Amino acid sequence: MKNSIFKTAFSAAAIAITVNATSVSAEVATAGSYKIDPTHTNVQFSVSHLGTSNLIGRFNKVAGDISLKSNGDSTVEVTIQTNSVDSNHQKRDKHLRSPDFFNAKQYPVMKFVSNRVSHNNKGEPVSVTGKLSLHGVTKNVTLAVKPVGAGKDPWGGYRAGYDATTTIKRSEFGMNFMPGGIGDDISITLNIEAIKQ
Amino acid sequence: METLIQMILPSVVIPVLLSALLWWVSRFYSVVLWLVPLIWLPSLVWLIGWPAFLPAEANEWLMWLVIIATLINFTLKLKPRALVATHTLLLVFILFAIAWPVLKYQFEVMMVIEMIVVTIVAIVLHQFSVIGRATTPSLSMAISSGGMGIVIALGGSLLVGQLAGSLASVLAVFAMVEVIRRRQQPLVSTLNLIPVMQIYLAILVVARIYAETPLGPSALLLVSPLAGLIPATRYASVFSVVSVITAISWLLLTADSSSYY
Repeated sequence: MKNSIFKTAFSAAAIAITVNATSVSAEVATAGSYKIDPTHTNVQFSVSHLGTSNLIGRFNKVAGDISLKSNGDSTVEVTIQTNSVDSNHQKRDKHLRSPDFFNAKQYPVMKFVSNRVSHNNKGEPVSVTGKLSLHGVTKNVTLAVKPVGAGKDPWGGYRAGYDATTTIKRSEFGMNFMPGGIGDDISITLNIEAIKQ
Repeated sequence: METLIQMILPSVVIPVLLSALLWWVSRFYSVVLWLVPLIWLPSLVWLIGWPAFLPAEANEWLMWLVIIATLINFTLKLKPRALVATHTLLLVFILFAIAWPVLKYQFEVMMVIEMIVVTIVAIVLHQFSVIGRATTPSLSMAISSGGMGIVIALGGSLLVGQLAGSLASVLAVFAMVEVIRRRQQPLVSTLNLIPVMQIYLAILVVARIYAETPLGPSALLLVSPLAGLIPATRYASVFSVVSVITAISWLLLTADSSSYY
């Protein structure tokens, strides 16, 4: 019994020390090269179904690099595997991969490459404009960016997180199938966590 | 409702109306029967849009296939062996163009083997089309195409399934004529239908490569036109029906049947 109380107290103290020493706060991320951590990054999309509800889906394979520079010349590059689309229904995922939608065999990746990153007066990125290549079409897209936090992680690394959102029209990317049943506007949200290299 | 209409118009209504019109004109000018494959084009354009001049996607090659194959039939007066060789070369080129976007970065031996099998089937179909002993070719091709439409729509892609379905609708009127006028020569000859057979095989390859249509049902769909066009019997279409029903049943029994539309 005494041993058990000691163990619990020790564990609580260890967690408190770890959290105190490594907490990631809302500080401004430091300049440098970052690699997107795919295990802590989500790419979600939302699309109207029959005009009655919004279907949420995601892509499970994402990679990319962020270069944060204090002079404002930051760059972002994100690559998403289209065959990793996941709408919580295996048969629908297969349909989404088919030529009706992403045509994932022919266009296995969608890629975003920034050409302008705007920062606020604290030096945080607030919007990213760049070229999105999807389904064989490349178009300019602007993402609104919200910095989430930055700081040291428990393993001695340094991480920064951002939420980015945008809305695209699938018809502009040559994805015209079922216009009546499936909405044209696709809301995209990226919850990115990146590790400083 | 709007979605349903958008699906039925290009895959059933328009091709059936066009084939009825062509059948009516053919009563006065039989030469127009060479144009049967071309009346599939409005459905194709409706479903996939106007193809780029240099096709970017697999489906876009189908337009060039049907136009060139029909022109070969209509304008070149080739001897049987040369006709078979020309159509086979055209189909091999189109199949290669369809598969190239995948093959260029991921060489799949299985895919190449399947394309060789499709080419062999094409040579056999072309050979028997030149001999022309099938008694109900439109009926057999309509059954095969309709079945393929159902299999592909259930197994991966509604769009490619609709393309196959519209091919069946193009032949629907001529198939009915064959059923009604029993013991007579078919209105549309197997030679007229070579471009249709090629579109059929090309759609099957598109479905296999891009829509992940399962191998077993696809193999049965490959057998279906052979079964319907080679035997010189009035009941050859029954073999196509058996192949198609087996393919659909196979898919229904093995695939996920839950609905998500």
